[in-house]
Amino acid sequence: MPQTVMIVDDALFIRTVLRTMLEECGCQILAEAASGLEALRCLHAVTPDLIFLDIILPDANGIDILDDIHRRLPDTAVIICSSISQEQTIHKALQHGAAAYLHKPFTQEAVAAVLKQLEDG
Amino acid sequence: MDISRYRDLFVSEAREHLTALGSLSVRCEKGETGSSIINELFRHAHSLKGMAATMQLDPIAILAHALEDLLDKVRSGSLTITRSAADLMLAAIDTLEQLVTRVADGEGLPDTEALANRIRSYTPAATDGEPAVVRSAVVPSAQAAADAPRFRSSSDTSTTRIKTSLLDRLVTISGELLTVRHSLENRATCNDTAGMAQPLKELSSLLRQLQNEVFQARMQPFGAIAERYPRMVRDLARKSGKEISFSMSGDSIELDRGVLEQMIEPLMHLLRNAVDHGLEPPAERITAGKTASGNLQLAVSRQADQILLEIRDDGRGMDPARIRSKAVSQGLLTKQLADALTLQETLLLICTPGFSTASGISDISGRGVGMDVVQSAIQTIGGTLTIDSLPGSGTTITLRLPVSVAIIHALMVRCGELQLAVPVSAVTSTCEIRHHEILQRGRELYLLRDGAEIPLRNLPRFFRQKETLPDNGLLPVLLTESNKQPVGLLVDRLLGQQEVFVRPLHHPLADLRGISGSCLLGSGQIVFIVDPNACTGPVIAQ
Repeated sequence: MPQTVMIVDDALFIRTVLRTMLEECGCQILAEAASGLEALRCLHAVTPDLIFLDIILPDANGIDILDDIHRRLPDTAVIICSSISQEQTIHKALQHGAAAYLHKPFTQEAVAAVLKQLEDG
Repeated sequence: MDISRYRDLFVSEAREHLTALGSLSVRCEKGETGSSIINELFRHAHSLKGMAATMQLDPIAILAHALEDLLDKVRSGSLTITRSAADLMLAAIDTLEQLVTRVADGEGLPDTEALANRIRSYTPAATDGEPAVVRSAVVPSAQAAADAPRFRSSSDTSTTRIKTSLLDRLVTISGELLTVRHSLENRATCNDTAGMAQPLKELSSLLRQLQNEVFQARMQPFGAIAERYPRMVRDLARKSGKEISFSMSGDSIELDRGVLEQMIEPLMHLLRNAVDHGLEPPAERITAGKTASGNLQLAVSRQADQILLEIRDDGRGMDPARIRSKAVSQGLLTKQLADALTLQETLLLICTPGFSTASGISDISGRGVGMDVVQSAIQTIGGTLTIDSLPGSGTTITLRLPVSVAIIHALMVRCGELQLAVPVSAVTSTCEIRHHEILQRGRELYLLRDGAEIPLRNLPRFFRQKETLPDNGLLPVLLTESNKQPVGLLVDRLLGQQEVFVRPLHHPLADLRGISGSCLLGSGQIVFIVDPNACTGPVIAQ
C-alpha cells in the first residue's frame, strides 16, 4: 500500500516540487498546508502516515507544533524539512520526536533516501 | 527530475516574496521595527533562499541568504535598521527582482558574491558615510519598454490561486451542464421542441451560476498590486530630495484581476507625476506655509458598480492658464478654443498626446509615457479619468473603473446601418427628444433641458453613418458624463439591453476611434462596443 503524506510549507513552490518527488516515489499526498494552523486543522480530516514539516511558518515554528501533531497522531512519522542546518536545531527537532530531517534544497534521491530510512526503521 | 519545469511557479512566488520584502523594509525604515515585522522579513528572505536553492539558482540563494543573515542580526538585537541598512536591503531586493526577471526570461544569472559580501560585512559605522541610495549591481535586461508610449502588460498576476471549494462548485456545475446537454439531446432527437423549455431554463440558470463563480475566482483585493507603491514613492522621494508621507486606504476592496493588472503601470505613472511635478521640495513648501513633508494618498473605494481610485497630493497644483498657453503654443488648439474651455476641460488637456509642461527632462518622469497613455489605458478597460486641482493646494486625479470587464450590461442601439453596444455603466439615463429641443450653434449641437444646454453628439455622424430620421419625430438620446459634465449621444434607435461578453480588439481594429471592444450576438453578428468617452471627448479632439 502506498504511504500517505501531508506536506506543510508556506511556499507553494516547495510544496509542488516535494509533492512531485514524493509521488514519483509512490506516495499518495492527502493534504497540503501553508501554515501551522492550517496543518492542525487538516489533521482533523486526514490521517497521513508521514508529514513533511517546514520549520519557519508564517504563524508558528514547525518544531513547536511537533508535540501537538504527536499528541493527535502518535503513529504518524514527522519529517522536518528545512534549510536550517544548525546542529542544535536538528537536535531539538529529533528530541521532539521528528523521525528524520530532510535538508533543503533536496533532490529526488534525498527524498527517496529519507523514505527508505523510515521504511527500514 | 527536471526542476526547470517549475520555473513559472518559482518566478511568480519569488516575486510575491520580493514585493512583501520591499514594502516591509520601507515600513521598517519608517520606524516600525517590532519583532513581528522583522520576523516577517526574515521569513520571506528565508523562503526565497530555500526556493532558489531548490531551483539551483545559486546567485539568488546566496543573496537571499545574506539578507536573511542581516535580518537575523536585527532580530537578535545586534543591529538596528538605519537608513543605510534599509538602502542596502532595498538594493539587495532590487537585484533579486532583476535576477528573478532574468530567470523568467530564461537568461543566465550574474554572480552576486560582491553584493552578498557587502551585506555580510555591513556595520552601520562603516557605511553611513556612503551615498544614501546604493543601487543594485545588475543592469536590467529589458529597459526598452521605457521609451515606448504604451504600458507593457504586467505578468505579476499571471497565476492565481483559488479556493478548492470553488473548484468543487465548478466541477458540480460542469456535471449538471452535462445532464442538461443530455436532456436537450434527447428532446432534439424526438423533435420535442416544447419539452426543451425546461432544460433551456436550467441551462441559463447554470450558466448564470457558472459566470458568478468564475467571476468570483477572478476577483482580487487591490492590496495584491498595492504593496509595490510605498517602496516606489519612497525611492522617488529620496531621489528627488523631497519628503513625502504616503498613505493608502481601501486595499481590501476587490476588483477583477484583469482590471487590476491594467492599473499597475498607470498608477505608478500617476504617483510618479505627483512626486516629481506635484509635490514641492521642503523649502518651497515651508515658504508656502505648508509642512515640510508633502502628503500623497492613494485611496480606493467602491461606489455602486464602480471602483474609485483617487491619487491626492497637497502639492503646488496645476495652473490652468499655463496649461492653456502651453497647449496653444504647441499647436494643440487655437487660442479662441482654449479660452472657451471649462476648468475641467483645461486640466484634461494634459492628457492630450504630445502635451508636456515639464520644463526639462527629469530622470524621474520626463521620460517614458505621458498622461495620454494613462488616459487611454483607463479608457481601454471602460474607466474614466478626471482631474481636480487648485493652484497652491494640490491635485486629485480620480479614476472610475468598472468592477469587472469581461461581461457587461450593454444598451443596444442602431446608428445608420450599424448596430452598436453602449456599456450601461456609462449611461446615466435615456430620453426621447423632439427636434425643437435641439439648439445648433456653429457645428455644435446642444440639448435644451430644464433651462440648461447639454452638449449633444450625433453618434451616426461620428461613425460616418447616413442619418435616418425616425417617422414620429422623436429622437432617442443617451445621457452620459464626460468629465463630470452631462453629454447627450444622439442615436437612431434604442434596441434594448443585453448582457454581452467583451472581446478586445487587436490591431488594426484597436485603432478605431470611439470603439473599445466587440461582442458576438447569439445570431453570430459582431457588434462593436462604443466608448462613450472617446465619442464625447474634449472639444479639441473633434
